[in-house]
Amino acid sequence: MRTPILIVLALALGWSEPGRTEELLVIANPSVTAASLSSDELAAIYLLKTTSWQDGGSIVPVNREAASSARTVFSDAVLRHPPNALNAYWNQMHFKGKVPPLVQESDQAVLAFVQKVPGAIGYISASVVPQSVKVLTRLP
Amino acid sequence: MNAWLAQSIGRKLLASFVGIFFVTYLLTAIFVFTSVHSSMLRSEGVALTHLSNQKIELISSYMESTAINLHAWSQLEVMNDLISGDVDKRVARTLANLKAQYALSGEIYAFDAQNRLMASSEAQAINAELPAIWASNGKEPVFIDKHANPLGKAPVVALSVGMNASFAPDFRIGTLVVVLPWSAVEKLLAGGKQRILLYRDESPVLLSAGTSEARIEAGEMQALIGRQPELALSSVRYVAGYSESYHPLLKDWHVVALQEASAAYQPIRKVAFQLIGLGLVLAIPIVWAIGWLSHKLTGPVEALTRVVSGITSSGDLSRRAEIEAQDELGTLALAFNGMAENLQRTSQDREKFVAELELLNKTLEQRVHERTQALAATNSELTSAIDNLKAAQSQLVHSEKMASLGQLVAGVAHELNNPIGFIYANFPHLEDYTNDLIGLIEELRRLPLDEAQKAALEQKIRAIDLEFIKEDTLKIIRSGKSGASRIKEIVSSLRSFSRLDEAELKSVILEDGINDTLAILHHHIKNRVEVSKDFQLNQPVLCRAGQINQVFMNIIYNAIQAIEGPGSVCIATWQEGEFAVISVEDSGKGIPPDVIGKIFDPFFTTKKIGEGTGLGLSISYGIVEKHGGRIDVTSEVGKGTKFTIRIRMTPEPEQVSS
Repeated sequence: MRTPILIVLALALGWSEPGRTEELLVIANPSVTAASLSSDELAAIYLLKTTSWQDGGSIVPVNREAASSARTVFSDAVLRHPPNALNAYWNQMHFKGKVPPLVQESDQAVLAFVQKVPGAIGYISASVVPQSVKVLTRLP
Repeated sequence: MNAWLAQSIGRKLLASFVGIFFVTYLLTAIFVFTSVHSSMLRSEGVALTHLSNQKIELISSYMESTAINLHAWSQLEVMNDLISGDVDKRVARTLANLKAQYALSGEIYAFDAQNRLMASSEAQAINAELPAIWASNGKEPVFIDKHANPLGKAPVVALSVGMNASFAPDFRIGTLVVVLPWSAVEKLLAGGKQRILLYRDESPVLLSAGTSEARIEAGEMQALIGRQPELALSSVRYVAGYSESYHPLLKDWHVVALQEASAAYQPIRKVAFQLIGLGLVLAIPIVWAIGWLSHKLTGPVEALTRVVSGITSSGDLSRRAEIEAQDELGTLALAFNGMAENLQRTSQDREKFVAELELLNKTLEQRVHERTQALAATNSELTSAIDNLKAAQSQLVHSEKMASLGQLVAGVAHELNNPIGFIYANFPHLEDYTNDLIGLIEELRRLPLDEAQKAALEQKIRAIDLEFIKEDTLKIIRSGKSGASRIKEIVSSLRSFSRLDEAELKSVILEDGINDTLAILHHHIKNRVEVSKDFQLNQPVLCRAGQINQVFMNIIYNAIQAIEGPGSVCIATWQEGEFAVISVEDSGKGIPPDVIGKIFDPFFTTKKIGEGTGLGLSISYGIVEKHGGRIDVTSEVGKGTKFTIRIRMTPEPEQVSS
């Protein structure tokens, strides 16, 4: 199983090579009071170490699908762990009762989700207009 | 029937055993049949109940699993996309995939929190609102009963569940509805030969009528709700089995499995036929066995009965019952045999006694008869003895009289003998003297006498009639001589007749005796009876002359008396060997044949009383017998009687001695 995954990863890395330069906007539901988030804070949210905002509202992190370049960028820039390790980690967390970041498969979907769900946080391509959301930070 | 039964214990046994068998078998068969009937009905009911349970379980589990699936589907992360309006169509794809994957016959609809249809498993997108009937707020799926599909046409059932975000349990993201066509439910119900009905009992509705499309009446519905074990639908009888389990999802759904009664009763009828067949098959050996048993039981009894009736009818007590076994009947036969033996013995004893009694009776009769005869004989002997005594008495009297008379006669004869002797002896002298005197007178006359003297003499002679005197004197002398001679003869006869010489055997000339007798009887004979004599014997016979003379006297006197008026008596004598035979034949009246046998009996007489004693011939017979001879008599009535006397010339020594 490992070999196809590596191949997929290699392919993904190969394809996303041009995308390394693309920028991601970390967006949040307007109800989120936090003005900005550091990379560490963001990593803590996505690694499920921080589960609520300072005002008490729960954090709903939204991830992109594993194959997407945005996720690769986000993982590299924020989480700093290889995707496999992250997957294993999230699975582990899932078993511990913590919900891993939801997956949306397009920027539009992430945007719509974050727009609708209070406490939601996600990332979209910087090329997308972050309408009706709160942009917390820009990556990288 | 009762008469048929009454004839034999075997039949009674057979009938009762067969009756018992049939009653027992019938009861058993009825019991078995009813048990089997109820058991089969129960098992049929159980099977039907089981089937209906199975069906409701099937539906329930189908619905449950669908509900679980629905619940699981509602938990899918992808459903979060409803929040974002399924911009990626991930939900729609997922639903389509699920439908395909679960081979759902219905459709899945996902509505968002604003009740807008966001996604469905249907190919083309539909723009619709969540129908009110499908609305569900709970997190658990709810079952929506049979209803018309708001998004289609066919009747459906639906399961609906409210969806919340996976990340935030309180965040509602919409409603997931799975719609199943009613045909799917009916497909689950279908199968088997039984008719499956699905109904609801609260606000009663028949949901599925099974294979038949017939309408159901209110009453029939009532029977269904009443869970009647047997009911009629459209006038077809059914056995029903109702589902028993409660399914929270299906609530008041109930399934009833119906089996047509005729089909349900088929095996019961078969059992009934089998029972009848079994009864018949059992009856043959049982009846045979009962028959054999009854024969076995009653056989000895019948044999015994035969023996008893045989004994009763024939009276043959020697019959014995055969003892075949050592059981009660054997004991009975043994006891009977003992009884029969006792009876036989008793009967034999009785017969013996009866025979003895009869013999005794007979001998008694005989003895009485004999005694009577003996008595009669004794009586007659006594009578005859008395008669004999009387006779003897009279004979004795007579004998005594005769003896006295005889002695008298003998005495008279003896006394007369001498005077008669010298009278008789003197007559010749008297004759001589008379003749001399007459001669003298004649000489005197012839003497020469004077005339005077002569004349005087002559005168005298004339006066006395000398001639006459001369003649008459001679006559007188002669007659005197004759008379004397006769007197002498009579006296001689009397002497010889009397018993002076009885005891002595003398050689006598029988003709002399006859002549003596005739002389004595001269008075009776003279001038009446002509007596002719033919004496050829003329020999002396040694006998008791007196007794023989008595015999002659009796017989000749009888002969003379038998002649009334003139007649003749012919007396003949001759010799026949050593017998002297004297026959006396008269020309009298004869002796009747009925009397001729009795003439020698003592005291038998035909003479008047006083004329005869009836002893004459009897005594004569005795005398002749003593002389070793016999008297024969032949007689013809009206012509005469002939007595023939035979006596021995010389008596035999013993007779001599007597």
